[in-house]
Amino acid sequence: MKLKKGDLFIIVILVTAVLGWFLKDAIFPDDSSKNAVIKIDGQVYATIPLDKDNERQEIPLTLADNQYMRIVTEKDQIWVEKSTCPDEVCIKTGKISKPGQSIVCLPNKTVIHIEGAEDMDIDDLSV
Amino acid sequence: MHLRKISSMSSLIFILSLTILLAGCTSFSKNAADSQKNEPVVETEFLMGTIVKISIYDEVEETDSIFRKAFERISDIEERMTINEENERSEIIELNNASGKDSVKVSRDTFYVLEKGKYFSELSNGKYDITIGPLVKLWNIGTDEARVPEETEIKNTLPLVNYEELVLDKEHLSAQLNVPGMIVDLGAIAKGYAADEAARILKEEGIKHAIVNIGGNIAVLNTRTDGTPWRLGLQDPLKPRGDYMGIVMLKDQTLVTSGTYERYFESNGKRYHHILNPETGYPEENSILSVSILTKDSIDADGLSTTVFLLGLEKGIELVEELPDTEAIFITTDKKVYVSSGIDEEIFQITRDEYQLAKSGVIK
Repeated sequence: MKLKKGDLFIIVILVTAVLGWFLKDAIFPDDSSKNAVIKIDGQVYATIPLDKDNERQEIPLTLADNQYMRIVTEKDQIWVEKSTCPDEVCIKTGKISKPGQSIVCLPNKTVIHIEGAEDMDIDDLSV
Repeated sequence: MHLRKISSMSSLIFILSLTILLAGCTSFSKNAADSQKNEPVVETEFLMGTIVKISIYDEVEETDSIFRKAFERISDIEERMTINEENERSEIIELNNASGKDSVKVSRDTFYVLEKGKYFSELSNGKYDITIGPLVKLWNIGTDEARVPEETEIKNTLPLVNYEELVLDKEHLSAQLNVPGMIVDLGAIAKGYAADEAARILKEEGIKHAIVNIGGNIAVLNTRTDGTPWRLGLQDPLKPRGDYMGIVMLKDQTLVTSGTYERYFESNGKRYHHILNPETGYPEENSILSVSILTKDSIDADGLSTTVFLLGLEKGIELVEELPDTEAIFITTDKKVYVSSGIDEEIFQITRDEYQLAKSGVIK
């Protein structure tokens, strides 16, 4: 079982390649697949895949008490463009794109939350 | 030559298979860790003007009735303690309407929360004031009538804010506001009480591992199912909801954060947040972006987070150090993080580099 230098070289490369293949996912998690989930009063209204190739898409929400919201997605981002709520905190939150982020409109009981290769480092969030 | 080729070939295969086996092992142990961290059953409702989320991690067959009991309790507390005019069952509205006239009988629940509110008002010499209601109504922050009041309006309203004119009679479970026009506002502590009550109900129902989240006010039951502490993200005050700047480890405790970013409105390019200073009548402007309180009861954490915010960094930390089982984390406008003496890296870790732990020597 005597190995030549060349053999060792090949082995090292192969081992590195195989290990690299398996470690790749751990080091560079695949965050390309993520969904924006729109919930109104706790019920899922829509689930929208957020992808870098997405064209601009408008989601109009007609809500109770004549309230209205316009949610927009483009590329891998989602945001609230228009809302009849009094404080417009949802619009001011701006564009979100990372798993774990969310936009909350309390007056309209609407939540947009991004799910994906989520950062599972935490159990919940103190706001 | 031929033989050696085979032996080197076989050793190669051997090493390769070992590698694959090892790689398989790492992914196997990863799966094992995942399965250990079981997925909770989660229910969400809009109550108390915010999102209420309860996550149960125990493996129980039927959670519906448990969720219902907990949410009903929260809803009950909201109805009794709201100052939202739409509600006719509110004992606090009754108390406010009788200001300057009568004393009002209240439930044990409401009395307890009133008592706590008055306690924190006294503790801070009125920096936090449970009778802040007239000012809250004047600003109306969080509603479509939010506006910057005229200076004279504020001047005329300030004398109505004085917790010493709230008289509590424990023996008869009654309360009275001495001056007409006074308004009690339990907004800064009622959510904490609701979190305590929801947690108590979950425990009574035999739940051992759960998280109650009332608009970002967190109360946890015990630990994670594997016995390790719960890990709670601490909201980055300058980023969208969900971006956290650190992780707080909790065991059978509560974590409540008060921040300028929670509720606010803008007028002429200036931002006005919702934490009003009862002495000036304006939103408190100090160096604090957010303050988080870690303690046993959520009503205390809720009341203290506002109180300590209004006391400011130095006096706030001083107060926290005097209280048993109570810790605080402050984030200031210069992205410095100040912590009370009981907080170490096993309780709190900063995960975002732009935030720096201030040296304790800075606070004197």
